Amino acid sequence: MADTKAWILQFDSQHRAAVGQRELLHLDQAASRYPFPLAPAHCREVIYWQGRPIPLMDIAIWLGNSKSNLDMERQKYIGIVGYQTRQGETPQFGALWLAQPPSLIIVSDNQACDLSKAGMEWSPLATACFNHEHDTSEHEPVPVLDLMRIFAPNADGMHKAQLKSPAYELTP
Amino acid sequence: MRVTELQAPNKLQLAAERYALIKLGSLNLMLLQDGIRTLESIADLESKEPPANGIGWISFQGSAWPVYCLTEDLGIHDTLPESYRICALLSIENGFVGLVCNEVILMAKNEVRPQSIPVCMVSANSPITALVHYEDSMACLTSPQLLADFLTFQDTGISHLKTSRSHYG
Repeated sequence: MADTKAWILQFDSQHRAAVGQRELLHLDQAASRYPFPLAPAHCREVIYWQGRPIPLMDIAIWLGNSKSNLDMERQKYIGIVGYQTRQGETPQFGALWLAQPPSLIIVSDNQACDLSKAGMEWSPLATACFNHEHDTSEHEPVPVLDLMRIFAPNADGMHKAQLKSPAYELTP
Repeated sequence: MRVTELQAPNKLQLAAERYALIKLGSLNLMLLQDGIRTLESIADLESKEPPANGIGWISFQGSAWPVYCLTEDLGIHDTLPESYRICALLSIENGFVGLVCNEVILMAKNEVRPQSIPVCMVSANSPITALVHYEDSMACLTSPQLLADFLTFQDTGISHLKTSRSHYG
């Protein structure tokens, strides 16, 4: 039974998800942000990281929270993530607004559960899910983000199966 | 009052590498300097019977040309913000179109390195073709014709940009 490490990312008071340990590359609190018009509402800012323009996503908005329901403190940290659209390709990067610093956990295969337990709103953003013991000792489903689908929605789906990431090994 | 009339570029001097920034609030639009025909004061704007989605007309070379006011999200401003003091008259295929803005900065000749727009931010009707990181800021690369086409699209098909108004109402 394989164990793997994953980062728990908290987007607002209600929404959290995980990425593989190797997918989260950097945490920033002071990145300069630049507006980019006509993009989707959840992704209207760009930051520069290592000389490249990186899209900055607000997953809480993507999940359908109206502005009035969003807690004001959710945009405190920026997590830089990396992904590949195909194996062997130069890594691509994206950024996510986070409400808290990420926490590293160990996940076992036997924690895998159906993604639908996390809610249907996660289906465009995640491909897997696992049960995780929350602070309250309750188990709750944590979706595993599909970074390629989030940041490169037009990438050839055929290449997804070639990805090697701990996150994808959790698919039940 | 004409603020500035830009000189026609000398192609031999690689004027095509000179860019200008049009500032709309926090948004920087970058385009080739030779795409800007003149800079006018908004004091010369005729606001009577404005074009659809526009705020008025500006007179240049014997004709009146439609003038638009865009937000930093490239939405249509119904009214002219106080901070927008300049009208950049942009050269398009069949004439000109005016765009009011905070400021126009003529950049020194330098090497502009356009970078691709992240895939997840691409919009089919956007006039922005690339991103440019310069100094400590970012600009969105575009062209007068793309901006004009975008405004026409916003206008749900009314092709007032193809012709000027022959006289003020």
